[in-house]
Amino acid sequence: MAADGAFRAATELLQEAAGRLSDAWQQLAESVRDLIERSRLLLRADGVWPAVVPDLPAQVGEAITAVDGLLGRLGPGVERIIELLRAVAGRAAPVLSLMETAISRWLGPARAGNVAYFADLGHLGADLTGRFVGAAIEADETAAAGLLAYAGDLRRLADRVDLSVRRAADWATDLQRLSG
Amino acid sequence: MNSFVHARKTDSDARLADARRFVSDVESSPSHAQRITGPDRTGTAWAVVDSVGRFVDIGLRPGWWDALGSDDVAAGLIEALESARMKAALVPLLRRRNGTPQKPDTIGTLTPLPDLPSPDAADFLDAARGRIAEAYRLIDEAGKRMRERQAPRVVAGPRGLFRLHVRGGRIERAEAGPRRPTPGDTERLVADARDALTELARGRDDTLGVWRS
Repeated sequence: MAADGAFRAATELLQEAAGRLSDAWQQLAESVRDLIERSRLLLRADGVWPAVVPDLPAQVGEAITAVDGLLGRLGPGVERIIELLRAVAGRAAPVLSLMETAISRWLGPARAGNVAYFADLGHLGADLTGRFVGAAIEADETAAAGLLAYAGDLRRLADRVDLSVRRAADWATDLQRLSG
Repeated sequence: MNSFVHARKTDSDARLADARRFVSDVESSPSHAQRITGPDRTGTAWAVVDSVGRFVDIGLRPGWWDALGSDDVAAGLIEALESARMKAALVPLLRRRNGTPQKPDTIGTLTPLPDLPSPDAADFLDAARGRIAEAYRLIDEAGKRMRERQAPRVVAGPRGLFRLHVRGGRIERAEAGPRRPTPGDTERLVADARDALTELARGRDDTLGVWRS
């Protein structure tokens, strides 16, 4: 019964992480687009800095292109992780109903491997959720001309998402091998 | 951000002369800018931030009452803070333009999670539950920060002379009050603004950096 409880908790974590990661991603994309828009406004609305730093529009324009490209790079990786979280949780749901019966005992050994995989995958989704919310808050509070520095941080976040996609795929391969 | 926008930008805008000086300083001294001061357009409000734009201090110069009065003083202080933050944000750009070597871009990494014990091990279920609990802690913390970010709130100084309307850590506007300041309130008004901005910065510092680690 203890294993059943852990399996259920891990499955619920996957569902929760998928929803929260999706919300955090929407939030991050919205905050970054807002920062880009503020950077554009900086060049139009306040003539102080473009008057003193003549190449500021070009520099900010370059940063806008870079950040826009990073958003485009982040999207597919995030979507893959969200899809994976939902797909794995979806596949686990029928097993959860089986657990209410004696048949569940028969599934024991494979289930323990699943619990480890689900817990790791859920943790990965939760970790990214926290980072996306932090990145969204940072975008909200970044001065319009800070876009260039923000781009460096966003690039590292995109690297992390790429690595997370690879890691999740490696875990799935390991699980398949374990399940024989 | 603020409604303090009457004066058109002209050479009498104190920010323009300050910006010119600042660019010249940064270009001539690569080690410049650990503390960065910014003025409002009248030059009677000032604010100091550190090299990454975190609030350090704020103040008013003689003449603020004639230049800003009680209606515009709060917005003037926030405009000074924005000027200082803008200058801090521009430093990397100015240095890059000037050919000063920048720190190379680092590549984002992923710290491996410690392996869970083998599913056959006696402590496997406890370890798995621990990982699930840690994941929920991360999710709950993110949810709390997201709610805080979305909720508007007022951060007021204790003397009733200055308050900020913020959403998350972002200042949407500032106002003097509820008690209307007088020319004799300079020190109390500045102390109130300092307290409110310090309080706001305290909450902000807790959230910063976590996503970059």
